[in-house]
Amino acid sequence: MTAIIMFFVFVLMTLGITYWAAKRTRTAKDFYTAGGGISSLQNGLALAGDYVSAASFLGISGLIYLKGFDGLIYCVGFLVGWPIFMFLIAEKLRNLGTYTFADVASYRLKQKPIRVLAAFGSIATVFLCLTAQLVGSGKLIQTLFGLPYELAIVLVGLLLVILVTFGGMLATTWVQIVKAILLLGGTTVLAFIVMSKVEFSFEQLFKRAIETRGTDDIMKPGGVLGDPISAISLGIALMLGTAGLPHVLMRFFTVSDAKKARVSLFYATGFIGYFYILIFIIGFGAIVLISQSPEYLNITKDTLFGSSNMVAIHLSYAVGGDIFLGFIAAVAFVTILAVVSGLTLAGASAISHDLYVNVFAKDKTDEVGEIKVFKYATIGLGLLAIVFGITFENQNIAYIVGLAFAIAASTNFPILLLSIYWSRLTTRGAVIGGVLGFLTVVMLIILGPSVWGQILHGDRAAAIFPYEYPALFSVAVAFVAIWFFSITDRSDSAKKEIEAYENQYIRSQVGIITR
Amino acid sequence: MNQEVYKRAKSSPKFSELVKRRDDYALVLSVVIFIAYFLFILLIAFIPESLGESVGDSVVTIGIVMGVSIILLCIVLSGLYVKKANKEFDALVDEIKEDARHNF
Repeated sequence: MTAIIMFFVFVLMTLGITYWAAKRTRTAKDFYTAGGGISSLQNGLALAGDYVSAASFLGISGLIYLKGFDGLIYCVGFLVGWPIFMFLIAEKLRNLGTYTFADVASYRLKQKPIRVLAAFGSIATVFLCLTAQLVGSGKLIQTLFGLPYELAIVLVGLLLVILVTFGGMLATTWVQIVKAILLLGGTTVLAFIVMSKVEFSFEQLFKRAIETRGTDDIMKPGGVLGDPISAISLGIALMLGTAGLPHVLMRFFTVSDAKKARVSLFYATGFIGYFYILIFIIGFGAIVLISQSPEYLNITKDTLFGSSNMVAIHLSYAVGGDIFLGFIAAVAFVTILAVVSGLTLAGASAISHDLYVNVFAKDKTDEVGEIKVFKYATIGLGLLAIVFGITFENQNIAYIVGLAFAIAASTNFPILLLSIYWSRLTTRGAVIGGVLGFLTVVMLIILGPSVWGQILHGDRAAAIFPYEYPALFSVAVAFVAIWFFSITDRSDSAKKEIEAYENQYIRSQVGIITR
Repeated sequence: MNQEVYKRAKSSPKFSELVKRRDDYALVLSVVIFIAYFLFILLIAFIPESLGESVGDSVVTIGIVMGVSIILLCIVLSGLYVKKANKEFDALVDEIKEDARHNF
């Protein structure tokens, strides 16, 4: 009961923030970029908040609990994209763009095709991330309140639609900040208690985990990544995908200049890295502290109650009782709510800003119309995500997010990188390459072991494409196709696009020069 | 007119200095992360046993040390870049913009 009260207190607090922000959101600029007046530390926290989702907190801790070392691979992979992003893309992105990354890619290329493509890449990425979060929240509510999974998903879906349609970027940013602080605080306490049970010695922690499991397999690479191809493929997806995630890219426009963008990235990298080290401790702590208590195990299925995604939640109860359980569960829930809002926001912006304003209505529209489309888009995305959340009930959320990264790495990332650095990029190359990258990645996911195998035929071995992760192939397809169809593009418009690179290049380096 | 300002900015020797120093620095740091990370991933892919080796008498394995080190490396290198960019590169950018605005 205490747990449930704690839970509601935190959730209501979040909604309160949204209400506060909603009253302050007036123009489209407020709506998309929180007025552009967010500080570096705030933006760093919000970035970390957007990024360390339920997939990290629930999914990776569950993966570490099950497989030990293999979970660490995800921790490392999810982080390495950040410094690369900072070094190569962030400042140039800030110098060139306004609301979405498509603004940057279409700086010198043709607006219409580039925006349509960017919107598709963004929506697909956002969509898979959304699904993962909803699966996490559904399981969480199911475990906590005993509600049916489907009902839980529908409830969260409705909440997120309310949050995003009324609050816009300002509300999402503040929810994100509050959540990042709660999550970092909560995991710090959880990891601290775990360490206190093993005399603050990592040696002890690992030793006891090995004893409990009866094998030291958890200390070395195991089967999670499968064959070498899948391992490399996931490695590429995680590293490059970060710089193609629309909800992360969008946060760069909430700060006022390149310097703030850079500093906020440093904060974000620090918080996220710190968080992953804590998650690693929590995962191993769970092996030591809960894997032998029968109360958490679902005896008939020989798995953890509420699936492996609930490890962190069970651990919080094991070390801190009802109150701590309520707190951690609420933090996890607010995390999910915040992340899904950020995601939906990015997805809906792609529809309202990139598709509606710049393609269909061709700038003839007003801000009011744009925000209206944004709200309808949010509702549409929310409903679809509910359906997908129910379909993917038993997938590990870290895995689903891995796929989202694969899409981002194969569509958004190549176009973004090459539009910034490669003068010979033309619209034809970007569009054909982006479409091929996108189609390849989506086809390979559908034909792969999880969808074709498990979901459609009930047998992973039935898959047509044998690898779990497609990024190695799809990223290569995207880059080669963009290169090939750009250099062979002899049209006049291509010539103009190449000439326009110089201007873009100067602006990407120094920003806008005002008189 | 605006075009002119950007042309002037680019023709400044400071511009090429900025681009060279900043892009080189960013590239070197990126390559360091890239190598560390893909070494880790390739070891996992092809010689996973090597990461299962213990460090000394401890139960901690090379894989765990390597993974955690890469996480720390990411944070440290980001910090280095921000420090240098805030101190050196931003000053150059400001000078370039200032010059482009006023030197006709």
